Amino acid sequence: MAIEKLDLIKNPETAPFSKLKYLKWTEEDEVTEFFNRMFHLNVAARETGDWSPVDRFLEEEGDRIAAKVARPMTFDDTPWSPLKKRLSESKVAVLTTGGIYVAGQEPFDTDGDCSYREIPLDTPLDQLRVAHTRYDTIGVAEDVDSVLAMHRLSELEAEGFVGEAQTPTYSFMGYIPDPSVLMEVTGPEVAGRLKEDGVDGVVIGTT
Amino acid sequence: MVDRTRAEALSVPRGLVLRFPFGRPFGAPGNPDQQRVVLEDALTLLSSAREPGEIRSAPYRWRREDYARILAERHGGSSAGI
Repeated sequence: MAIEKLDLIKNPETAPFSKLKYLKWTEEDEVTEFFNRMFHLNVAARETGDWSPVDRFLEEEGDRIAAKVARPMTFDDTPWSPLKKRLSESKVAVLTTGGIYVAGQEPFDTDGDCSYREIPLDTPLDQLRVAHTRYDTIGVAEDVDSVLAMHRLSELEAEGFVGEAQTPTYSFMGYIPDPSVLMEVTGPEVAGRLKEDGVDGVVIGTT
Repeated sequence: MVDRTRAEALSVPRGLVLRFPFGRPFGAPGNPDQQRVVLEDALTLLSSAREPGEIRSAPYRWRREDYARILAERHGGSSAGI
């Protein structure tokens, strides 16, 4: 029976292995080596009935390959501003890098895009779209809260958990090979807009 | 975030690390309880962190948790509407 991609994500044992997709951007020798080791571990697991070395291998390889291919930027200084009010008195925004946009807006360029889209919190569900090719977007356009918890934030506002939910919120598309425009222009621009609107704190769903 | 090392390298002011599949920062599509638990945790971290760079690891095992029960316990049984 064929295993659907969605079933793999639903399965908690396979969920952490999603980083293995980065294998396609490694050298051919490395891919061969990966499958050789995988083959040997599988043969051994069949004999012993213990599959945990296979799980461990997949998880460790996922981490190793992801660290190698997607080298993170590093910063020496940690920006800091403590929340000065109670949550129930604070105005909060939830942002995403999940490539969400509204029908009628220009979709993100999935090869790299430093721009952002304004997302009013009351946007009808059927008007939300997603443009992002670097993560599994199955089901995301139908329920954007998995990457942009805007409806959950509205609920928390209604229940008084937070003082106010910021609208509009903002969406970026997280695949940005050259982030200089993001760092110098569009990032500060969105931060400035949020500050102008009196936002006290921001939660960013990163993809 | 899915990766503590990356969160540390990026020097984020606060970070919530979740062992969720990449691209599902708040949880699975169609699982509002899970999304709610994660958002509440993120907001609680936002308000309670006292030092720059505090990174917390959430204990949740993707779909193997009963998120409705977590919410019910968290909100002391007054879970109507949650």
